[in-house]
Amino acid sequence: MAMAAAVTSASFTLAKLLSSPKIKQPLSLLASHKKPSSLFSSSAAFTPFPPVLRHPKPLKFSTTGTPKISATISSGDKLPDATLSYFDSSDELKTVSVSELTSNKKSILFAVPGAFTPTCSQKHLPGFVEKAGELKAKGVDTIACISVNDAFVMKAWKKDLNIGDEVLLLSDGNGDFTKAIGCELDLSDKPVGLGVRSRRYAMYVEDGVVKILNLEEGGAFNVSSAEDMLKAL
Amino acid sequence: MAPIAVGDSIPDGTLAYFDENDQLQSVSIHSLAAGKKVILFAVPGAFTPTCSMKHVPGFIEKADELKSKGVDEILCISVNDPFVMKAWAKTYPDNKHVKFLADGSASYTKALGLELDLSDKGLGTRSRRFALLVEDLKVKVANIEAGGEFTVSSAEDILKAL
Repeated sequence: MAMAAAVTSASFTLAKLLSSPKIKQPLSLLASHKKPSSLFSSSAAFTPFPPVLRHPKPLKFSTTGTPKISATISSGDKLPDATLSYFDSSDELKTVSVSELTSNKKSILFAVPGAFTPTCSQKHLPGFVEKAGELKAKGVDTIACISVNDAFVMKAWKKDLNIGDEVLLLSDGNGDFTKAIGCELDLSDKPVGLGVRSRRYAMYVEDGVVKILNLEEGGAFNVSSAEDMLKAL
Repeated sequence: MAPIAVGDSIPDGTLAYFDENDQLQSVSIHSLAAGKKVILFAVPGAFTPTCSMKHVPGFIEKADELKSKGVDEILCISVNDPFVMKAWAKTYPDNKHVKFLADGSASYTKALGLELDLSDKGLGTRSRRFALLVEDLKVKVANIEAGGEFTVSSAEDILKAL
């Protein structure tokens, strides 16, 4: 029965849900990137503009009022600090700060919109578990998956997918880290009631500084896989 | 909202769940409860210890007894999304009658006046633990905990009241 469930649930992917034009797009005045991130068209030649923010991709804003602009993390930025939580192997609730995770280390942080959702469970997370060995062989110290779910749910998800220590599953329960990096995804008005979650992304961080950022629009799964990260390293 | 109490009519609201064919469905509480005797019980969180090891199993175990006393539906609500509720329900393969419903944005919980702020535990807004016996939309029994403790809201407590 579980197999049937896995197969039929593939027909209802989060990606379908998330192809909404109401996604907040990141706008950044600073073009601090050597490699074009997926946000910016590779042919964009940036000239400094006065306070008007320029967005290189056509964006669709909701027609109700002025869009809120949030500063989204970019390559070259230092990650803000925040606290994430998880249950350790003795079932104790622990917290870890983003700076502990990333200072003096090479880390990969990737985020999913929701534990137990199809794309996240069947592709994104398993991809990183599979490639963990290869990524670590390239010098990556820590691989962590972040989601706006509580630590109990993350623990159950980890067990469900039989994940060991290759990838840490960390809870951004209140969404604080996700908001601090401007990657929130508002799914509150979806019938499904997911609230505010994280956009899907994968980032490579060296000593707290983002070196590579593969950020999706919403929950799409185009640039943020383990393979994409491996190619970039 | 003031917390729901005995004598009140339960508000309507929409909750979500995955059906046997794994299709996402939404259902109105009134459509499930109008003209029927239902138990509505809530937990602060799927996969959390008390909820998982005591509260839910209690209702699953007593489901047949409750049904023999005229209960038509036993509904478990939590402020979790339906993907999580589906995964949690799967951990109870012997469950025959309890329906797991997702109040993902806590809107129904708030309509009942039973929300619980667990942000400082990284859980956001959740539901207080409670068990209601509702007959044709009217609350007959309201066993509501102050937070997440487990003292009055078990299946046994509702059984005694039937």
